[in-house]
Amino acid sequence: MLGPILKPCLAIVIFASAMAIGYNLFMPGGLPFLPPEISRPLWREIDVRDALQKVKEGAVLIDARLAGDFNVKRVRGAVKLPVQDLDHLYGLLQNSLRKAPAVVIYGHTFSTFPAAAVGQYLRERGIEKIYVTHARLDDLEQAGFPMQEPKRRAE
Amino acid sequence: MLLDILSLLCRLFVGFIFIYASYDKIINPQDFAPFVAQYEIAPLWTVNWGSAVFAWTEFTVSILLITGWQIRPASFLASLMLVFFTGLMIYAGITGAGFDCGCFPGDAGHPAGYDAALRDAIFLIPALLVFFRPGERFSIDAMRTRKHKKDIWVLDLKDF
Repeated sequence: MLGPILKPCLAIVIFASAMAIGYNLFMPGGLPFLPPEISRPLWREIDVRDALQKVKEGAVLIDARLAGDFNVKRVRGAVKLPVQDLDHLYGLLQNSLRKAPAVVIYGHTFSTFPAAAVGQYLRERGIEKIYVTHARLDDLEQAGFPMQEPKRRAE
Repeated sequence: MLLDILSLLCRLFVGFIFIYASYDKIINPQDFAPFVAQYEIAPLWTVNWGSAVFAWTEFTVSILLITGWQIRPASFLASLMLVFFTGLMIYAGITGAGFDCGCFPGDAGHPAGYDAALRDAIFLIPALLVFFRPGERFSIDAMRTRKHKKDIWVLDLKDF
């Protein structure tokens, strides 16, 4: 029953893929294959052990995940700076970020890498010594970062 | 006759729903990709192009349905996408996502969850009707079939 329509279906998907690639390659405002913060990063990558060392030496630790995730669990002492609020919060934080010996950023999920976006944003505004880790919260916990889980209000 | 008219209405309905859903995703791909990413079902490196291909597939299917060209394959793909969307919305409901589903343009917001799953399941009914009973009214497929029949008739006359 499906046999005769599978070929046209495949043709439709191939046509749509070609249109998607063509449109995004050649039109202004097209979507790049990877976001620039990943394909052309201005930040430096750091592994979780070195990140812990930097934080012990006084680096500012930034949590780039969604505010909701930050409120559930985070590294103790991490500063909340989600991508959605960057423009708003940057003005408040820029002085302390400029004075910091280093800035370490975490926040990585299966489909998103907000730490990279925040790192790129800060580097574009001239803040030096930006380090981004691919580590997720569990990796940070295993590496010895102290965690903070704010108590939830009783239902 | 009645079923043919119903099939035509369903085909146009699904076609226009898909056009409405896809045009903004195509024009503003930068805005749509984060919606895809928030479901956390696709690896990071597939999010941008995956979302673009999805939007263009929706758009292509909608054009085919409205013009009535390749009705059965187009309605099959539309049904597949609607099954996928329904499953995705149920998943969003189970995980308590609560964010905008990114299905349609506009600032009003359509929260991902069980309500959106029900909506997509309802859209699936006309899509399946078109697939099982494509109809031929006002369609390119019907024009092509008529031309094909005419060609066969001419051949028959020559044979005699």
